[in-house]
This record gives sequence, C-alpha cells and structure tokens, in this order.
Amino acid sequence: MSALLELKGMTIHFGGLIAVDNFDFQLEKGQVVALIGPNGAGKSTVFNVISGIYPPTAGKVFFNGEDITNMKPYHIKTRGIARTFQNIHLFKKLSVLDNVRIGCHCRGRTGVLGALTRLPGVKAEEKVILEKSLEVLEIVGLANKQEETANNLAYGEQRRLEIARALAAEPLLLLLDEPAAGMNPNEKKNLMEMLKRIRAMGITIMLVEHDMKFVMSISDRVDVLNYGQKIASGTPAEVQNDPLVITAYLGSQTG
Amino acid sequence: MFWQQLVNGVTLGSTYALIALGYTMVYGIIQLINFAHGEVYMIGAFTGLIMVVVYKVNFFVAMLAAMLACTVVAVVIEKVAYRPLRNSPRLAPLISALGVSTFLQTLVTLIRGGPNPLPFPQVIQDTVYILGPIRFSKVQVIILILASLLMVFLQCTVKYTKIGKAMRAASEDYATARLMGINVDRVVSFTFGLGAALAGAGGVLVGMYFNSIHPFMGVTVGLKAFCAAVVGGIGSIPGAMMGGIFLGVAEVFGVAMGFDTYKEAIAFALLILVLLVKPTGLFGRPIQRKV
Amino acid sequence: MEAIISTFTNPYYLQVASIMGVYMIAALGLHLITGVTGQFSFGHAAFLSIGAYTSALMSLYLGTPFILNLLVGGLMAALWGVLLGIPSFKLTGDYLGITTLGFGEIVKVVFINMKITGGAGGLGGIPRETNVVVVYSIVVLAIWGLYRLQNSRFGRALLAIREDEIAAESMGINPLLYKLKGFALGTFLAGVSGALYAHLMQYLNPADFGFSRSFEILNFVVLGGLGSIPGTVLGTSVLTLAPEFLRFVREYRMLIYGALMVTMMIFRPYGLLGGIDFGKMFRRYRAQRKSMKDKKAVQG
Repeated sequence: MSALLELKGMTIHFGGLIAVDNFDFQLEKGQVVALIGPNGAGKSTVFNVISGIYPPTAGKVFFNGEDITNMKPYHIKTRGIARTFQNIHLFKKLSVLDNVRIGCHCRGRTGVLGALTRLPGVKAEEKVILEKSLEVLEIVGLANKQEETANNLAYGEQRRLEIARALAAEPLLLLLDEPAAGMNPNEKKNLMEMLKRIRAMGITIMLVEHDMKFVMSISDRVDVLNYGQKIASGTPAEVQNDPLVITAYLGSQTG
Repeated sequence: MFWQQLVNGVTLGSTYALIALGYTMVYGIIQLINFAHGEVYMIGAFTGLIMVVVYKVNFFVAMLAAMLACTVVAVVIEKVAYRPLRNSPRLAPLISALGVSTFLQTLVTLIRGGPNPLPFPQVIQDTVYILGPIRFSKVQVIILILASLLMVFLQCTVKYTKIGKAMRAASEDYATARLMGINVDRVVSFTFGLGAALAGAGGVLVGMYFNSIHPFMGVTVGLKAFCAAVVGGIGSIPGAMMGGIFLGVAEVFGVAMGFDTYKEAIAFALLILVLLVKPTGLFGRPIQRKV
Repeated sequence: MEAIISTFTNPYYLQVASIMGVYMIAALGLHLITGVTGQFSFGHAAFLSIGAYTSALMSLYLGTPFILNLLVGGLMAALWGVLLGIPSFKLTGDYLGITTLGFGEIVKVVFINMKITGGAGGLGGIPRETNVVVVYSIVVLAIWGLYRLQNSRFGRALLAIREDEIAAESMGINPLLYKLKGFALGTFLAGVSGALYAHLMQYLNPADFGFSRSFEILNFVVLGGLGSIPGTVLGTSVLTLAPEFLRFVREYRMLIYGALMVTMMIFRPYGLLGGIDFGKMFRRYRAQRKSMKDKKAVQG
C-alpha cells in the first residue's frame, strides 16, 4: 500500500538560511506520527510547505498518490488536508459556530446567487453545514459555547476550536501544530482523549509537539528534526534512547 | 530641450521627494498613511509667507521658521489624533488623519479669509544661469541645493545618530524595539517631527517656485508625494527620494510631450504601472508572509 | 399634523432624503468591501462617477429605460472594479487602497478630458427619473441582499478573509476570487448609486467625484460602525444630515466636522454602533424567552 503522505527530498531555504534540508518522510493511513525537535528545527516550516503556504525550494510532496507540490493552500485543503496553527489563527471576531462553519467551506457550493435566492438546495446545504459544525463542536467539547465570540474563549478552548474547525471539513489528514502548547495537565489529558477519538474516526494525524510525555503516549512513530535535518525516526521508545536525539536536546557532554 | 526638461523635472521632483520622505518614514514605523501630511506642507508654505511678508525676514530664516512650525504642528497632531489610536482598528487613525486634514484646511481658510490663492513674494532675485543648453533660474539652483542638503542631513540622522538607530529598529520590528527598551513613543514623535520639517521646507520652496499658495494646495501634492513614496518602495528612505524625482521628471516630460491636460493623472498612472511590474516599489524589500 | 405632512412633501426635504438614500447605497457597497471583506478602498467615488456617466449618457443619447440604465451603470462600475481588482488583489497588504486612490484621480482626469462627458464644464440636461420612492426601494433591496449574503457560505468566506487571510486560505477559500467577487458587488452598488445620483441632480461634474467624495463615503461606513449594516445606515444618515444642522455655524462647519471625526475615532474607534451585534442580541433574546416559556410550562 502506498503512503497517504510522502515528502521526497524536501528542502526549504529562506534567503541564506536552510530551514529544512533534504527531508524524506512517509505517513501511512491511520497512523499518528509526531515530528519533534528543538526550537527552530524546521518543524512548522514542514507543515507550512505541506499545507501550501510556502513553496518548497526543492523536493516533492505527494498526497494520496497525487503530486501536490506548489499547490495553493485552498486547493490542498480540498484534497483532504486540514491544519491548525502554532500561534492560533482563529477568526477572532466571529462566533465559535461561524468559525467552524467556515471550516466546512469546501464541503459547500453556495455562491452569490444561491445566497440571495436561498433556494431549497441552499437551505439543505446550510442545514448539513450546521449539523456537521455542531457535531465537531461536540467532539471538542465546545457545543455549549457556539454563540461566544472566538476571542473571548480561554486559551485552551481556542486551541480546541482550531481542531474543531479543521475537523469540520472531514479531512483525511489532520496536521496539528503544537496542539498542547499552553495547556495545563488536565487539559492535556482531555486533549489526548480527544485525539484518540479522532483517530478512531479514521483520520490520520501528524503533529508537531514539544511535550515529550504527550508525544510518546500518543504516537505510533516519531521523527526528529534538528537544524532542518532528520536525525532519527522510529517508535517512541527507540527515539527516546537514540544518542543523537539526546545530544540534540541536551547538548553533547564533551562540548 | 531634453536636458532643460530634465532639470525642471528634477527640481519639481525634489520637492515631491521632500514631502514623500515624511510619508515613508511614518509608514515604515507605524504603518499609517498620514493623510494630514499634505496639510503640514501647506502650513509650512503659509508660515514661510507670513515670515517673509509680515516679519520681513530673510528667505532662509523664513524656511527655518516654517520647518520649526511644521515640526511643532506634526508632533501635536501625532499626540492628539494618532497616539490614542495606536491599538485601534487600522482604519481609525486614517479617518482621524482625514479629520485633521479637513480641520487644518478650514482653519487656514478662515485665517486667510478665503480659499483663493495668495501670491508668494519674490524673495530671490530672478537671475538666470546658463550652462550649455540649460538655463537654471536661481530659484531652481536654491531648491536643488537645499533639497539635496536636507536629504543628506536626513540620511546622516538616520544612519549615525542614536535616535536614528532607534528609528531603524522600530521600523524593522516595532514590538521588539519596544521590548529592547527603546522609547517608541519618542521615536514616533521624532519621526513625525523630522518628516514635517522636510515637508515645511518643501512648502516654502514650492511657494517660491510657483509664486502661489492656497489652503488646499496640500491635497494633490500630498497624494502625489504619497505615490512617490509607494513607487520608491514605502518604508524606504532612498526609495522616497528616487520616487519623488522619478515622478517629477515623468510629469514634466508628460506635459512637454503634450499630455498637459492629463498632468494630474500622470503620477497615479505611473503608480499603478510600477505596482503591476514591481509590487514592492523600486527600492522596497520583498514581503515574507508570516504564519 | 399638517406640519408633518408638509415636512414630507417639502421638495427640499425630499431632495435631502433622496441624496441620503443615494449615499446609503454607495456606503453599503463600501461596507461590503471594507467592513465585511476588510479591503481598503480609497476611490469609491470613481465607481460612482462611472455609473453616473454611463447611465446619464445612455439616457441622453440612447433614450433607454431608466431601470436598464441603472443596471448598466452598476455593471460598468463592477467591470472596472474587476479590472482594477485583479492586479491589486494578487498582492497582499494595502495595495487595493493605493491602487484605488490612484484610479480615483485618473478617472476624474479622464472624465475632464472626454468630449462626450462635457469635460470640466460638466454634463447637464439629464432627465430627472430618480425620486425618493425609487431610492429607498433600492436601499431596502440592497440591505436585504447584503443581509442574505453576509449570512451565507459566501459571506462567511468574505468575513474569514477580513479576520485572517492565511487561516481563510487554509480553510479552502480562494482569497483572490472572493475578494474580487466582494469588490465587484461593492462597486456595482457604487455604480447604481452614481446612476441614481445622475438622474437626481440632473447635472454631473468630474470634480464632484474626487478624493474628498471617496473619503466622505468611507467616513459614513467607519463612523457608523465598521462591518455593521445598521451602522452604515446610521453613519450615512448622521453625516449627510450633520452639515444641514451645522449650517448655523456657517464657515466653522467644516472645522467642527473635522474635529468631530478625530474625537469620534478617539472615543469610539469602532464607530457609533461598533461591537454591537444585533443578530446576536436577537438570538439571545429569543433563547431567553424560550427558557422563560419552558419555565412557565414546568410551573403550570
């Protein structure tokens, strides 16, 4: 079986800086894979290339067997990749419900004329969008806050809303950029439960995360980036004992 | 003919450049299009006129007085109309700027007693120098020399002084500059004052060049100078200088080629053309999307 | 009673009311562009003038029916909106603001130079077809349409772009396409407004559609409450009537107007109705009533 997502020799330069260097990566359907590494290792950059925000300097991205390199973010989204952002990018002044409805965008078709006429088909589509939105809000535990303005949510709730918004489009692959950042232990525990439920829905997950306990307890595989290069890949236990990884995180003892 | 028009164009352009610098510096730091800047320039011209006519001072003293008056006006405008809006939605300071414009135009109209143009007295004897095929009037020579001196002075201020370094830091990253202990409020005040001084000098020079000033003179020239700043690459100081001269030259050549009825549109047409070819302007830096 | 009726039939008041409605339509167009989609436009008056001249020339030279002239005026404005929008929206940032600013001045100069528009002398003799009923029917139609748009998948996409373009793009929204559609609709309304203006004033002059007119309309939209339809209507009403009420201060009128703009922004940077969401208030009211009813039902 071919991989759901495959990166081949992905390289990204920013001016003179090599953010990611010749990165190969594979993700099978149904897996949970984490990308870890020290700050500035290039993890978020990898996400930004997969989701189409930055074009890679070299290399290819394949999704479901299709070459999606250099595609625009809105085209990639319709292929079934949804993401969250490290520094929350919610539609701040809109309601929680509207945030999730916008997440459903590529599942609808209504344009200007449809909006003006509100024909039965349009109404039916709105109903489907509403039902789907309420369903994902239920999953992340925000169903009782649908009328709240996104900006007024607590930090952890905002992170969960980002996940709900990404789920609304029923993606095949969910990219989570530091989903547990800024959460307290209790919230992290809930988040872990939530991710397990999402996984059970058949959604493949790729995440970037700094909390090692969190990563180790949820991932099937962990890849480690350092200075834009992959230095290790394996099960959580293998990676944890890899001397290269320990050096990258703690610095080498000799110097 | 060609060289003569070039000299005329550069003269006109250097006055645009003096005004464009104020737009570009302010935009560089707080991303505000200071639409009241044209009115500051107008106030400079009127101050110069009052100094020359009422106080009978020498032209250079009048120009210094205009620069000083504009600095004070701009610093006050910034304190009253912009600073309280630093954290407001981006359109709020723009609307405030337009309110200031309307206010100042009306104020000067009331003081002057009507919107009609006033003649600017001939403060410089109209001697003509001839250099090969080109005729320089003394006024042109003074404008070119003073404008260049002011721009050199500005470059030195920005490059070599402590406050200049603070300006560059604030324009690179406002929030970080603040965290590094730079008093950004003072930097912004200083930037407004510096830009206004240049605009004030421009106002006196233009008044002298065209022999006529009026309360609404800042509107069109202000917009054109803003175009110059964008054409040069908004936020870039050399860009504003080159952009101003470029537009001035283009306007003079456009008129010479028979597009005189389209004179007022030339700067704007060039603006759109330049943006189509090079969106960041001639000297602007490419924008990196931040996620 | 008689006084009220004569107020409503007084031609002067009717004229003021009609102009107010005409500006409302233009302001609603800009509301869609700036308030909903979050794009700066500093040349809205140019689109009014395109609609005004197109429809006036059709009335004068083709004698086509008024309603058709209105429509074509709007479409012509939208066409130019699209032509200007395509290059502007390819760039991120304030570029639309800058290009519309330039476009506004260019259009003005072009109309001054054109023979058929009467040049700087203006275009007169346009038949008077606009009246207060026509104007307010279109105002109501525009508000109804905008309300439906804003509460649809299309409108939500525009709002998403205003709030966060990168996130919107990652939600599957093509920002260029949606900004363009929003801009086309907004400039269409500007064109219709201009066409109504032409057939109300019966005389057009390019100087009436300059930079200051564009900013007047922007003022209507921002002062009432950016992004809110009631705010846009309120802002337009207050600001078109304010000069009428400020007449007693004569030459100080614009001085006060300018000072008021600054003061307003300092004390209410989101506009008069900024931050007030009537839809949300209504939904809360409904929810409250429902829970009261339920309580009563339980008690009963």
